[in-house]
Amino acid sequence: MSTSHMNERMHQYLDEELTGAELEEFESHITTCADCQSELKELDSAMHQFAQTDWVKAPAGFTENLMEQLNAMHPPKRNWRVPIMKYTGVAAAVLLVFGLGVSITAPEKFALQADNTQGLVVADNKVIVPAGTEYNGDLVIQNGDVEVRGKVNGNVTTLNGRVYRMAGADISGETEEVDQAAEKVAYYAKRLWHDLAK
Amino acid sequence: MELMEIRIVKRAQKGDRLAFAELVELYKDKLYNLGYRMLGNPQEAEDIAQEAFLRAYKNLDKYNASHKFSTWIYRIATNLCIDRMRKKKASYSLDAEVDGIEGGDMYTRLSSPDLGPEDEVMRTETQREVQDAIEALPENYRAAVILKYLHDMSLQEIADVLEVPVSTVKTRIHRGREALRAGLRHQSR
Ligand SMILES: [Zn+2]
Repeated sequence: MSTSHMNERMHQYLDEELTGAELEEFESHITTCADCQSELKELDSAMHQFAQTDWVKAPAGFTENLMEQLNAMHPPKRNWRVPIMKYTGVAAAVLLVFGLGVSITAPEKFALQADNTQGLVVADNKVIVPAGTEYNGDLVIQNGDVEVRGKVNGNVTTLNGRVYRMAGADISGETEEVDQAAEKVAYYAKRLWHDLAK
Repeated sequence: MELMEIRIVKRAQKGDRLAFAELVELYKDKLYNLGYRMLGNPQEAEDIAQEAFLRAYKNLDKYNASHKFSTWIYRIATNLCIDRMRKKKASYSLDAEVDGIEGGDMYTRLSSPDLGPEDEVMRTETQREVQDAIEALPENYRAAVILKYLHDMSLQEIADVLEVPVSTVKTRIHRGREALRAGLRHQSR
């Protein structure tokens, strides 16, 4: 393989480092010199082919496996866990309650109201809709945050909590953050959950 | 995005595992892809990505926010890849004879033990040619061109990841380009 008299310039050109007179000079040289022309073409097409290679992605379950490994190597000090809720085929609305003695009328506790929990990652005070997943239905989170990275075909509501839209988030319905006094939240909770129940 | 990431890193540094899991989610494909292109097969790519995150976790307290988190995590992963490539190179020269007898080339040896769905994709002719050309590059050039052309990093970012001056990155990219040009021209003839 030969490299031409202008090789150095060519790479500067590819790095977009030539400006003004240098750039003009190079470009006009290229139009007249066949050697340089074919060399530039080869470089260009090689890098184009290279940049076009498939963007391979980490295998499914990568994060879960890693976190499991991490928990085995460094047992959590607090009771941090990343439970992956796998309730499949739940047709009716399911009320998932975390903590003791929680009900709709105890608005200080974290709770998640959802049609199902398929694909959701639920942890202390937080619900995650993972990237690449699609959730069908409404989500109501009380006293906790929700982080949306995937798709939600429905409404997302937090009562005393935040809705985080991460890159790739796609929420088809309404997003609402109700941040109010306890009575107000209880009211909203009742209303929304009543709506969801029927 | 950037601000969000800083907050997630801070939470992770305080021991919030869920925050760390979010960082893993954000970077798993990037590190896996880097490992895949550097090492040439899915199994090693997964190993490297995993190891990089486990190291990052152990050293989270050493990360300081004056650098971008992405630079830091890429640096860990790139160093692991380069180390592994050097070890592999040493072991290849040891069993080169065995390879010769069995008649298998390096490519089939690398990818045949574990054919995942990603590997199927690689088997198209062009993909394979490109991967062969990448694998013919010395590790330092390889890292530089992969970070630039596949991970869209600026020369400065690459310099930060590899901990070398920008001028060195330029030289590596120039040589990497020439080698890819030679490799791909030769292969497609
Ligand atoms: Zn010329």
